[in-house]
Amino acid sequence: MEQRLLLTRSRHDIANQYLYAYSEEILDDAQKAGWKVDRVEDGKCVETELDSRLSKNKPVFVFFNGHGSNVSIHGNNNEKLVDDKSASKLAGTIVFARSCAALNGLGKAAVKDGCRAFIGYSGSFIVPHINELESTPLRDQTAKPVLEVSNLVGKHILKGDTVQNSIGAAQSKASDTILKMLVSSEPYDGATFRALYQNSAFLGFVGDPNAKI
Amino acid sequence: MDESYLKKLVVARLKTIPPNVGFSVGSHGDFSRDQIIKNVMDNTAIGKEFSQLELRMLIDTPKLVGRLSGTKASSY
Repeated sequence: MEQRLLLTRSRHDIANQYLYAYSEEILDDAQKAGWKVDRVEDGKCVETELDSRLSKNKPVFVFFNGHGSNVSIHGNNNEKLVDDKSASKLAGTIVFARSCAALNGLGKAAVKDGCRAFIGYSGSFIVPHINELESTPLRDQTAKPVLEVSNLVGKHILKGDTVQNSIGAAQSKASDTILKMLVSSEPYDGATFRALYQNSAFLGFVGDPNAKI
Repeated sequence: MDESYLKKLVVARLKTIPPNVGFSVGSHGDFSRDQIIKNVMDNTAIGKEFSQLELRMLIDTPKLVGRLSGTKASSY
């Protein structure tokens, strides 16, 4: 089975710019580990391109970055990429959806239609940011821990870890970071630990907990 | 504890965050700290979401270590 990652991302608003910047680390890790990578990004982050790459290249791991709802995930300019009616296109894959709420309806539909496991969030995914650093997300210390914790799910899947362990790793890191920040005197940590707490509370999965690549 | 007291509590906690911090909340959009506080006072959907977050954190903090220690992932 070829190790192929398909990752979606765009830069049409602030939240997506942050997801775009921090997902570069996932692409680097995948390529260093010898994975083939399909980038579905910016203007090509649309449903037709996603469908084409899924059917031709058959990735085993799909990593979505974008806005979401209970039943859908969105790409460039918030155009829908996949929803609960078209979830069968994710059959045979492990999915990590860094999108709000998609775990609820889309995740369940995807697994029902053959997705091995769907990791995602059952509520809003919050990204804190410092106004002056919005154009340089990688320098933003309020966002960095939040997105690095979230990245741990993807990094562990790429290393061959199970779905259950990958989520556990992210939640463990979130816990350690939150506890340090609760007693920190750094005022910006208040924004970070709130986002970490929210995102960790809503991180979960549907499907096979032992699924791995 | 009545609703107005809880709002004051939530707002007091949110005011400890520096004013130049914003929050991207999915497709709801981007909000400054002060916009979040206004949403809390106006009881909007975003305001309720942040109020619930603050109150959950207050209630859960003593249990935080165990729940977020990564021993078992939440599955549906």
